[in-house]
Amino acid sequence: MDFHPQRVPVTAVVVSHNGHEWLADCLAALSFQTVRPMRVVAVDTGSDDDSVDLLRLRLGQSAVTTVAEDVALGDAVSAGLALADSLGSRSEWVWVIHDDCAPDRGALAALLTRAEGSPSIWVVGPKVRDWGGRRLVEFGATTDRVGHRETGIDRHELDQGQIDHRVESLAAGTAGLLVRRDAWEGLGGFDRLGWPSADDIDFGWRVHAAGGRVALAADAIVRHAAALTTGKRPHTEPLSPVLRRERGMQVVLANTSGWLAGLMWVRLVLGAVPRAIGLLVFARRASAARDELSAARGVIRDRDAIAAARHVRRTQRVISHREVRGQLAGVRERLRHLLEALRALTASRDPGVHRSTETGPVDESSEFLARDDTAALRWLLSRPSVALFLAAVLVALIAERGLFGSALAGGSLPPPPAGAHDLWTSYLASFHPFDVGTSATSPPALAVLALLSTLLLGKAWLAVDIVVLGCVPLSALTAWLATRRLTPSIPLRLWAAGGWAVLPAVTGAVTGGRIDVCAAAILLPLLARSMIITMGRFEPQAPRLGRWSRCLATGLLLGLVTAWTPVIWPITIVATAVALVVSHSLWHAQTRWLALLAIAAVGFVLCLPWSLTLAEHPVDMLAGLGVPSLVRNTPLPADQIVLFHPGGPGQPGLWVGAVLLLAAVAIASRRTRPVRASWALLVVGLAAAVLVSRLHGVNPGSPASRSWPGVELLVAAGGALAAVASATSGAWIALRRRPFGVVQPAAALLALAAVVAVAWSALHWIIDGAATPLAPTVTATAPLFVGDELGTATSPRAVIVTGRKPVAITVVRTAAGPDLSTAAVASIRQAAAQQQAGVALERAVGDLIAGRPQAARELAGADVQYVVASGPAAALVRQGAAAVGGFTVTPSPDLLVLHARRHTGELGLAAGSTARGPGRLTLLPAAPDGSAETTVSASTSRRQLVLAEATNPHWQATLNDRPLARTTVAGWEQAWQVPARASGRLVVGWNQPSRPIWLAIELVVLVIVAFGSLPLRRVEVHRPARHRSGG
Amino acid sequence: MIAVRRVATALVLLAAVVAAAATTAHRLNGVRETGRLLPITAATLVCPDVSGSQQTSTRMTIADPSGGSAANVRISQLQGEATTSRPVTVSPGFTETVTRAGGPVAVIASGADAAAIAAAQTSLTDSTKGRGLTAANCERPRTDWWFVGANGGVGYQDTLWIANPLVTAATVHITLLSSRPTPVTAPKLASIEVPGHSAVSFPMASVAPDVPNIALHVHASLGLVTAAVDDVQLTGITPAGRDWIPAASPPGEAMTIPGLTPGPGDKSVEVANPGQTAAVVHLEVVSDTGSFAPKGHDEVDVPAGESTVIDLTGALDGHPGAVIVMSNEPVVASALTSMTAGNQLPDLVWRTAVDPLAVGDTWAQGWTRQGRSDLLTLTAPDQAATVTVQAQSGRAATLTVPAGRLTTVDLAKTLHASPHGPGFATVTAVSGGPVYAVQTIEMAGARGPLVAGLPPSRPLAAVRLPAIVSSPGTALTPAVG
Repeated sequence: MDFHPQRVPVTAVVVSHNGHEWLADCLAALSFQTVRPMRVVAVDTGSDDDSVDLLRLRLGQSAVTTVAEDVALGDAVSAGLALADSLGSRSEWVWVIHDDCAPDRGALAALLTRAEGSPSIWVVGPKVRDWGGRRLVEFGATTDRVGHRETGIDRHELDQGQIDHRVESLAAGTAGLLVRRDAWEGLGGFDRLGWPSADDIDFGWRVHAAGGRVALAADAIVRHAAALTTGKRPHTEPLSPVLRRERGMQVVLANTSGWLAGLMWVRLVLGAVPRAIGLLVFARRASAARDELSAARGVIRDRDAIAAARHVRRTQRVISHREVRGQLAGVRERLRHLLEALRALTASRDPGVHRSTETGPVDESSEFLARDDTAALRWLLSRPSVALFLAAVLVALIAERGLFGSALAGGSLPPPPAGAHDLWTSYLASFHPFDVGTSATSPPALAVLALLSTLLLGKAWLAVDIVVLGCVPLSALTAWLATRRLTPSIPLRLWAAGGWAVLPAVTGAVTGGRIDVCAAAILLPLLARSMIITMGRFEPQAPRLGRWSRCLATGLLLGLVTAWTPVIWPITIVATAVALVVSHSLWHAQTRWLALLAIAAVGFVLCLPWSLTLAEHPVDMLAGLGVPSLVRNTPLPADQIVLFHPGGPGQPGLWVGAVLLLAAVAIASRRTRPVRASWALLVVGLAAAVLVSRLHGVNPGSPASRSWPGVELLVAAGGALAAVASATSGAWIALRRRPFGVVQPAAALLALAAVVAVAWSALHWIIDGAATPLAPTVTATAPLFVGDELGTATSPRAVIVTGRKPVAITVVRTAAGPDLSTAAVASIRQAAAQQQAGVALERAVGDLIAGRPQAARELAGADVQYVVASGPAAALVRQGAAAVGGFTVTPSPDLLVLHARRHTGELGLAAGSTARGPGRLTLLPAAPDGSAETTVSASTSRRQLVLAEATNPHWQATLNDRPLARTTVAGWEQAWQVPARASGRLVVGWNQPSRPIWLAIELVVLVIVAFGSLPLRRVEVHRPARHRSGG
Repeated sequence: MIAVRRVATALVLLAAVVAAAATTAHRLNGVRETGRLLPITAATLVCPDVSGSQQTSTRMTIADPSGGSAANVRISQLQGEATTSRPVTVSPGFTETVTRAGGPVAVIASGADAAAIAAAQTSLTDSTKGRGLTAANCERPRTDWWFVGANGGVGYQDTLWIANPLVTAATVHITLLSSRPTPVTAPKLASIEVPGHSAVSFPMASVAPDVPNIALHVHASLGLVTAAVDDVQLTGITPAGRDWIPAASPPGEAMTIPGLTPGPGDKSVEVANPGQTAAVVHLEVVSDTGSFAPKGHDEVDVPAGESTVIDLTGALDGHPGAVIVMSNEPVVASALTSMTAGNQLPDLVWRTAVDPLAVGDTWAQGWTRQGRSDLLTLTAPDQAATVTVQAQSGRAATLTVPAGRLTTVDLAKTLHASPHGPGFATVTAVSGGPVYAVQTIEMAGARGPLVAGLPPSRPLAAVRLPAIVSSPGTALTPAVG
């Protein structure tokens, strides 16, 4: 330690204001410098603690002066300099010291060393750490073009020398700032107009404009408590964020070049709105958004002050703005901030981070507590939710024995596609080349599944397995979460969640391969929970903050469930409205109507444009996602509906539903709002189930097809479970108070029955197993040699015919047949021309069965090269095909395979008008999506280009880039006239530009809703470096 | 009390749901997939063998009883690739008499009336060789044919004809049953390829030599065919009669075989059991005097895979009759009546089970005139029936049959048919019944009586297609096991 330090020509000016807590450290640090300032003076700005006494004690009476409280930092420093001058020590440098900062021993030496030999260095800034001395606060500072202070340091960043390479900056913080005395006086010190939070930026900018440089000295370390910013300074209001923004903007406007100033002003004012929206929507910082707008208002208000400041700076400027501009923060810094904000956003929701529970000012290093991993595991295993989940996993694993494979299918579930890519392709495409070809809008459930598959590294089969096979455990878990809103009783919650997971509709959905209902079973409890919370937020006494973002979150969930089972959209709206009315909740807050409307709208918009097609044909909401089950002639009987049994495989006995219903009826005697609301759910669900199971023709092309009322009965049974769970604990207390009679044993018996019913449902499912009709794999009906032929360049089709009453047909264009990505689209209503194509094909098959000669022509026209008939259909087709002729029969076990003799291509260029007779047909290779490109030579006769696809204006054919005249063949096929002498390059393809637009809109809405639905952040995250220079 | 009221409210709500569900369920039960009703616009008939010679004249008649002239009819002799067709005018009938060698002839009708077109052929041979009057309806091709009564033994010159009038080649498999306990193997009949527009014939004596009382099952696994059996019987070298064996109805447990002609000749029923279990067959006879179970033959065992001949000569004792066959297992059956007069040469007529008479049933050669008498035998085993028959001329006659009896009328006389035959007769109304009717053609030949029989031919009903629905699941077959 150097006890005889050298004195250097530096005047240290300590500015204090109620800084008792730090002042002693500050002064001690000054006195322990390896090179000492020639003089240390102090200026107190109206402290009401003992700061002045302390200063006088340590520095001597003469070295301390006081000024008024509202004097700006620059003026206070100037007052200190005047005092030093009066004491006869005019020095070359001024060292600005805040009362809450403490320079390390070598700080001054390092600052001076940095400036040595460089007269152009007018200002040297130290490396500022926090008061604890480990984390970085600032090392040079700049601003971006809209006035955000930029330090290039992340929050809580530990100083590991990572920024020591910085040598210069636009500006540096005022704490520990070393300034040349002549520069200080030449520029007039820190601005006197009163921008305390941005005066350092402003000063640095002016230094640069006047031809000086701001250097940084990494070895000069100053600890700074930033007491003003963090609100730790007693009796002093911390600087408001809006003021800070305002100052930031004003500094930019005051210092930018003359011709830019006007533009910048407009940009700052007009840009405030999008910036505020961005802050609100993406950063979830409502107050920051508000500040942004207020600051813009302030910029408008203070335009005269800005003009005055600009006048002063114009006289000082010697360097053009273009040269200074390089020092401003650019796009890179802004991106870094965005990432940081996102990280903060997610980190605040990370359950692994334990927030400090201390209320007072704490050392920042103690804010994050390390997690004890083994303790966490112990804690986890002792949770009832984990036990419930593990039990449900066990039940599912046993019941689904033999189903674990890579191509789960069967029942309504088509096999999964090869990968996430196929799901994305099918979702994004506007034309789907399967069956007769469809331009139907893909259901958004495909996108959800595709996203899940992508997260699972492209394994579509795994995504399907998780939704279908994981349905019971996952729905148990979500139901557990939802029940927290209903009852505090753990056993009741376990019963309700477990009961939900093994409802007949859930086990039936898994066993029947109904992936849409499986997804709904998982998501519905979350939707219900979110809806309860949202409606709770609209209670008059509830805090207003974040109610609309809660609406967005519920809307997002509604959209997600609607994507799988669209019928849930109207049911949710009706059930919620009825629940609000019957629980007398609606009239307390009219805004609930609006909230419900907003939720419905968000759910609808998220599923665009699919939801529009459903709005056009509401009955299509019932079609289901997978392979439609063909015919269910009898509507579901009344007893099954009212006992929550949707019918089909995987159903326990009816008594299970009877117990649940009995319990719900018994609990109806309790008069609580949850019971009324739950009953509303129960009745709406049952009514929907009655309605849905009575409608027929829900699958286009199958007039007798009916919907499986699984979702509706899920809602109803969910209502029953919720009613019982929410009111039972209260009922129990009421029963105890009653004199003992017949009621208590009956209630006990019912409770026992309820528990047994849930246990039996699980056991029944375990015993029965989930393996029929669900299977670990299915095979394509078409034999391999047909599949091979379908893969050829001309992409012919095969018609598969099965069954007898009715005869079921489908068109395949690939060996594998339909998978989930294609079947999901196939179940959607198609455009009229495509329906006509389907009808034409059904007619062709009918004519084939009837043995009518036109069948061959009709099938050839639809580009069918193979007819594969299996089961009882084989006999029908055999008889007919013999009479029709034109086929060769290819032997195949258990199948009748007819091979059309005449080859036709997907795209045929036929001579003559509508004739497509043999020998006059030229085959064109075409991609499976119908696109083709070829060269056509001139001919003597007019020709017709026939595409074996349904007419659609989106089909386009051009000859040498000129569109051909379109026409229709056979009532449904797209065709074009090719002039006789025309020759050249012929291109055929599908072009539907509206689909990408819709998808873009959907994506934008999704992003906005997703960010908007995150809870608003109530605590402002301060950037540590943003503080009052006078700290 | 309030609690009770709340529970009651809940119950009322549930009851409303149940009531709504229960009332609507019943009403909506009837919704089902219905297929298209296809009008018939094309029909093909095959007359089994339209050929003649110096001694034989064959008469082929095509009738359009619908009265219109909307059918476009062509006929073609099935000669493989050399087959050509020629148009004929059927308004309302067309008859061609052939006295040169020929073969199976296809009658191809198209147009709105194609379904109603009926055709039949009759042949007369009054010399010694192959003597007899024969008649056969021209049939539509199908996949399965049954015949009971063929014979490969000594004294028979039976021929099996198989014709394929369609373009597509047919593959035909024929299985044989006989009254022998050992299974009949006929390698030549196991798998036969019949090219399009062609016909093949097999003498039974060479494909199944010495096999008696044969029942044939002709099955086309690919394509559609028509089949017919020409039965020629001899006693030593003396002709004992000739007729086409009409196709039996597919195996069934109850059937009515009408048209056993009166007179002193032999009458028998041949029953074959194609199943795997022995059948117990009950017989009942309806004659002009009433119905009864034939003594000694009321219960007959037919072993699995065998045929049995039951003699009814004594039971009918010269009366005309119909035989009702009832069995506990599906069986096929035909009846044979022989007609003799003193020492003259006999002729025979084969009968098989027919469906109850329905409106539209037609005999293409309803009356033949030219020395023949055309009798219509109507049998009503259960209830009395009234049948109206209309002639080609438009003249109609109403015939009544008492319950449990049979009636025979001379159709030509009843209908006052023109002497220039032949012409068709068609049923325009049926009430009561069921009533079974067959036509019998009789004539006095130079060497004895001649007889032939024809069941009615039924117009094609409009085809009710099965419902056809689109379902992508069709392309998938669940894995087994």
